[in-house]
Amino acid sequence: MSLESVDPLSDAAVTGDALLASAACAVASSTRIRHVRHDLFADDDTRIDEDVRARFLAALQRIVSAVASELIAGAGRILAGGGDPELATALTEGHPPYAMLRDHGLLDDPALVGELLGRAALDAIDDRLPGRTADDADQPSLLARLADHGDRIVAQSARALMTAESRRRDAHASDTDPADLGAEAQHRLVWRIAAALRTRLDLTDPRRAAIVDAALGDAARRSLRAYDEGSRVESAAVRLAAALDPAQGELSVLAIEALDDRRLTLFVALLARGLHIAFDDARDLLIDRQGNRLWVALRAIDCSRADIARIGFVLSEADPRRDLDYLVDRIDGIAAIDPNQASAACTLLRADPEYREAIVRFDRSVQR
Amino acid sequence: MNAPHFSLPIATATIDAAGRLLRADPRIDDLNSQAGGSIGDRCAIPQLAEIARLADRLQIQLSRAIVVADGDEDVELWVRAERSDDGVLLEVTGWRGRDPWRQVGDGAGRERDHFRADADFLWETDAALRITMLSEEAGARFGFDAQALAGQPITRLFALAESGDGELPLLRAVSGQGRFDDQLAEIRGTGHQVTLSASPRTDAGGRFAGLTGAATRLENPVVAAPPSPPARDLTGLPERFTERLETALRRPLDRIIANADSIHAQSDGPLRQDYADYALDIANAGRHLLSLVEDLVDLEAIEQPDFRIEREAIDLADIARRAAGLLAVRAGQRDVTIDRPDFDAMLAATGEFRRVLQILVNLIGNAVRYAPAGSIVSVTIRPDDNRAMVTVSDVGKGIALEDQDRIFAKFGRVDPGEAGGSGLGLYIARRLARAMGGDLLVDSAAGQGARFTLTLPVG
Repeated sequence: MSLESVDPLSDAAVTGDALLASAACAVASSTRIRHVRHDLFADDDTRIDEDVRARFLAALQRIVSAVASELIAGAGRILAGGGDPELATALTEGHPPYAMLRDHGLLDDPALVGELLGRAALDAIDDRLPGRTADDADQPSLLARLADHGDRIVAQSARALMTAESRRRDAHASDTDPADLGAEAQHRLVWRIAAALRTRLDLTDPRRAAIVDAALGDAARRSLRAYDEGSRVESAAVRLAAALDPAQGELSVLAIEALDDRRLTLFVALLARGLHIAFDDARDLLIDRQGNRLWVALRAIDCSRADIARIGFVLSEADPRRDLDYLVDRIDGIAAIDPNQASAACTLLRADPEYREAIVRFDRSVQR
Repeated sequence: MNAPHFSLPIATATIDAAGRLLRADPRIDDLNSQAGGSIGDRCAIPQLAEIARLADRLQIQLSRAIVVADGDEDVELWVRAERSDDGVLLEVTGWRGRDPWRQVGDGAGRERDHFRADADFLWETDAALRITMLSEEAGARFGFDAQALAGQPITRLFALAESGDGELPLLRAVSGQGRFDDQLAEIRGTGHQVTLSASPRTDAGGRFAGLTGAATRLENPVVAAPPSPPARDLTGLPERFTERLETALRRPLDRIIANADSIHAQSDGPLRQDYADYALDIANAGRHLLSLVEDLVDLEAIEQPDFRIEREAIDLADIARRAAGLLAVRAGQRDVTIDRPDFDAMLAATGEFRRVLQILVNLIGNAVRYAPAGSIVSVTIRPDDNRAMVTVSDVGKGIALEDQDRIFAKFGRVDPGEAGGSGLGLYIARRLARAMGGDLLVDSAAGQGARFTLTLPVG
């Protein structure tokens, strides 16, 4: 299975209606990224971009390793303090937790994979964005200006986003990334790693098993108590977009400036805000190389022809596998789409993810 | 106006909707002519034609960095394209010789990784020198509030100190003179003294986009002026720096070159051709670095007061033939022929065999580099009274009279933007020639090729 979409619009002289129809069909399948997770663990499958694959695996290993270190340290202290130093030592020895989880299929978690894969794809684009500085060299960049905003909430949110991005970069470099997932995925992962660590010890003696389970349980709960979903980059970007609460006409200006400023997470958050959809869904729109859904979504937030052309050009500069000529040939048709119709085409994106998943399943079964 | 930071003026051209080059400034016209095009015909530089086509169809202003062939070298250009009344107006700047290796991927990320190896913490600014990235953890360690400083001027974090020449290295970097490593500063309100390093970033249009930098705590804080260099610091580098550099780098570089050559040769199985070509880029970059390290080692050696050279009887004709043989493959790749002394020719001289070989490899290597395809590089020998002479001549672009002293200066290059070489080769070669009782002279004029003559005492 591939991340690429099949292009339903092979005719370059496409009309706005055809684009709307295409986007309406495709919008329900925005969860498809979650269906390709199996390909990530297959050695011979290279359909996902190698760069994205490498980023995904590196991030996952980093998070697992950091959480495992935290649990080993926490449980080890409890065990050693309780008079069982040999159990604390034994906890540090054995197969690497990442390999144990992978081999037992415990990393095959849709929320975990969907989130990290989407983030890896976004980061791959973000790192290659060319950026564009203002004509006036003395004008600070977008986030620096917002950090001085008269609205205290906006200023604080802008500073929080810069700090969260710095923190993630630091964590990437130092391999300490213990709490950087959505809440649901983070909770499941912590308990799965605790279970994996448990298998490092011989627990045939029920008394030892009880001591170890209590220590690992305490360490996992401690790790989760320290976890703050709101400190993540994505959460910070969503908070800033909400604090800005841009009017329809301001949204595209801010989104383009975020792109020029190489703040792709903020771009996604603004898009999500404008469309009233979840951050992850907006991210899926952006990382879809085929792009039809993104162009319709941009019309839904009233982006002009020039805005869409700029966004399309910048994304293809950062991700050369995108077909820029596809957009060039269709830009007039896209620009002619009525924003209200475009917004209606995105309606399903606002529905409950489970509902959308169910619709996709029904559609597949009908096609069979 | 945030202009591109390169010093050359902007060249402009206009391309119409059919892709014809309607007009062009001389630099662009030259490139187009070299590619077989002319004014009024379709633009023969595909990269320029492509961005013009996109700007025309998308109807927005676009910027892009491109690499185009300029003779046998590549130049990197920044192009801005925008529709005008009679077509698409292109503004081209940059005109930098491309590095001998290809830069792939995220430049800022690479700089961060580089700095991270030695520094205590990293920082980044935008073009207005506002902080856009600052480590929270470093804030906790050094006593500043990273979140409160986000978006603030960099001078709110660091109190900058002037260098010996009364300048701020940080401001030099902003004005387009590249990376700096020597900005002394104090982290405000903490008493911590640090050295700042940073590289400027550019945007898609070649304009200054901010600094990617690092801070390293000074072990022995400077109270007043920076410490004076050690007595033996003749090269501007710490004592035995180059020796340690060579020890540290030679083996890894040798391995990188060998492995990259193996990958390029596809000795372990077939590869996609572009991957194999990347490997060649890596190998060439490795060789370039190695030659730079070797030049630095030589430089340090010859500048020592106790530098001595062996005086032995040598056959200058034999060494000239060997040097020519060493460069035959490179010459063949560039379609240049080296005319070397006949095998029965001999010319007795006095000097150190390996140093004379080194000088001649340098001279012939330069000649091959600048000689046009299809031309001949001549290596001739002749006795002259009490001296033995060997002359290397090419029919390349030559060296203008006013540049002839500069090429023998340390790090002296006619065109600092030109790719390749360290700017040390001829400086070292002349120092070596003089240490052997001889000399190295140049006889050239712009556009008329170059003749370098090495003279040595007769044997």
